[in-house]
Amino acid sequence: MTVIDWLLVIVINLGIVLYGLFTFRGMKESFDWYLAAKSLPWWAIGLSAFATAVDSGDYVAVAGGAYRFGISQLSQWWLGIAAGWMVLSFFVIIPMYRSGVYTNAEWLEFRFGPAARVIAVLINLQSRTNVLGNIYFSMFLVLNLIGGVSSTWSWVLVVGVAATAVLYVVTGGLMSDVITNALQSIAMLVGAVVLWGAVWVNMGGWQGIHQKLEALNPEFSRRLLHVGGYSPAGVPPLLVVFGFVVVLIAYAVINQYEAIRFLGARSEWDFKMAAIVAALITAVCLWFNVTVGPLGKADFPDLKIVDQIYPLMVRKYLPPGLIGIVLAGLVAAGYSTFASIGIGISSLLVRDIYARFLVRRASDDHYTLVGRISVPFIIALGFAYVPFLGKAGMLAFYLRLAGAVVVPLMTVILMGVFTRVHRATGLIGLLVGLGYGISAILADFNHWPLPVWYTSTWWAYLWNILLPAGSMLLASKIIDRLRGPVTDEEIKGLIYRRRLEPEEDLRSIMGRRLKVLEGTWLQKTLQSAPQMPRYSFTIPASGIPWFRRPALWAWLYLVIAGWLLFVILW
Amino acid sequence: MSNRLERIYGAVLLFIVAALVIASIFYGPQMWEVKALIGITLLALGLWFLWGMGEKGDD
Repeated sequence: MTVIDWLLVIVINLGIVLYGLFTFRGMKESFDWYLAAKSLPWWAIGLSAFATAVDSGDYVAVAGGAYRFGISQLSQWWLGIAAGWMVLSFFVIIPMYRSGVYTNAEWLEFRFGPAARVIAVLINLQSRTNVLGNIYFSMFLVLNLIGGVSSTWSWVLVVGVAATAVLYVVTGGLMSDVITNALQSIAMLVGAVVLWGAVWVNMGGWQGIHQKLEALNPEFSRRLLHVGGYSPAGVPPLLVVFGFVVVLIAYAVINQYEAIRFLGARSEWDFKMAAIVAALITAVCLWFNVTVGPLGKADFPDLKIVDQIYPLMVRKYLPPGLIGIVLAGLVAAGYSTFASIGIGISSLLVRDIYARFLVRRASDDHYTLVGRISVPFIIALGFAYVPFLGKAGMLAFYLRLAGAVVVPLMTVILMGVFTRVHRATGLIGLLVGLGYGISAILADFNHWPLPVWYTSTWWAYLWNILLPAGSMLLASKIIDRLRGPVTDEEIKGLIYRRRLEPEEDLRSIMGRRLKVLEGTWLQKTLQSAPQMPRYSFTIPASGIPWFRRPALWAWLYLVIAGWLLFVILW
Repeated sequence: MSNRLERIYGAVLLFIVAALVIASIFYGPQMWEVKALIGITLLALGLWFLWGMGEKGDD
């Protein structure tokens, strides 16, 4: 890498960091720091959701994953995460937003009790710090292999990036995170386009790569260039696609660091429209990142560490200047996710652990300060995972863990939002799902003589939906018989409803729903949470014009993505 | 940061990045068209930022 490449990386990223650091310093109250005073517009939330979801690991590890699994991964990014954001913003977030909670775990306690709240925090903490570890490792690979920086200095730089991300989140909270994310998303997209364009042209387009892979091994082109091309032994291709889709729907539904930016929206319309923006930009960016994998297979067919493919392609195809642009995008991707994990996990630790169980009656300033202090510790936790990465590929590791712990939580949240199951069933669903998931991992790792449909990652996604949902329905039926069905009062404001509940009613119910919150900071913030409007604009007498209807865009997106995946690219 | 200062900051940042990208053509002529396109786009964006400041009379 030349001096000019390094200058580009530094100027682009430091420019955005300094902007975030000095523009949003006045966030004093917890409502401002954690939720940006519920003032975020749709475009910023959408770009931020994208920049949060796609980190530098999603360039490096996704290309590495596609090098092995092929473009079947597109189903994750075109359908899975888009459907996840749509389920989140059109349904799941609605009761959370209206009831005035700051975190999805907080809603879980109201719906399913304190154990569900704590388990959700632990799952979020584990899965996000694991992701931090992935990002650190992928940034290290990028600096080491593209930048030619020594191993020690690469790690020093990774720590430096993490530390500067901490600074602007600590000062500006969610607002700083979302706006810097929006700027970083542009750098990320440009970086992805530049590498892909250079490789695509050099390879002679789709036809060229097809011919090159055929010449190497006809099996490569069948497996890598078709969405339905990857299927391990005993697993049908459709189940692989189902697994890819489920894991990213779960990602969007359970992750507080995604949910918090939707909760900071200035209206319900804004967070619905944001889901469309996020889905579109993710689809474009990840097309570039995923297809780099099969393109790389044609060039470097025998890589032992598949995550090296992205850095190798950058070095082979890009001249000075453009290497800097791509690396700047990768570093921006890291920054945006560090910051989002910082604010998201901080909100969980402070509201759902510290203020709920440890210090209940301190001042608002105290909880904002504790939130700020927790951010560097959260970011540092990610380094604990680093020694375990890079052995069998980051994607495979993440998929295995996600299947065991994340999908059961998604199932419980969806059951809580869409059905009238009893409060006590949440813990049952979580325990059943986690019990199965962990037993499947143990069986797989220890080679226990169990059938593939029990131990395989891909089958686990299916069972992790069916087992928790089934056990919750069954338990709810039993409780119905013993204690009678759930009353309207018990679930008012906690499940999905199209219509708005009267504001005074809802605030009063939320404030006194849990006796344990009496007189606490959590109760005060719930009671004082403003009821936000459904729309951030005046609706014309003729009704909402078609181009301002998020549901229409959502359907259009899903139909086109489905057609491309299951017809054109299958 | 005031709106005016934000626009100046954004424009200066874009100009610096544009200058670096264009300067990189002299480090290696490969893909010079792409570098020129990125550089010119960034310059145009920077100018648009400054022009918008004058039009709206932000302070």
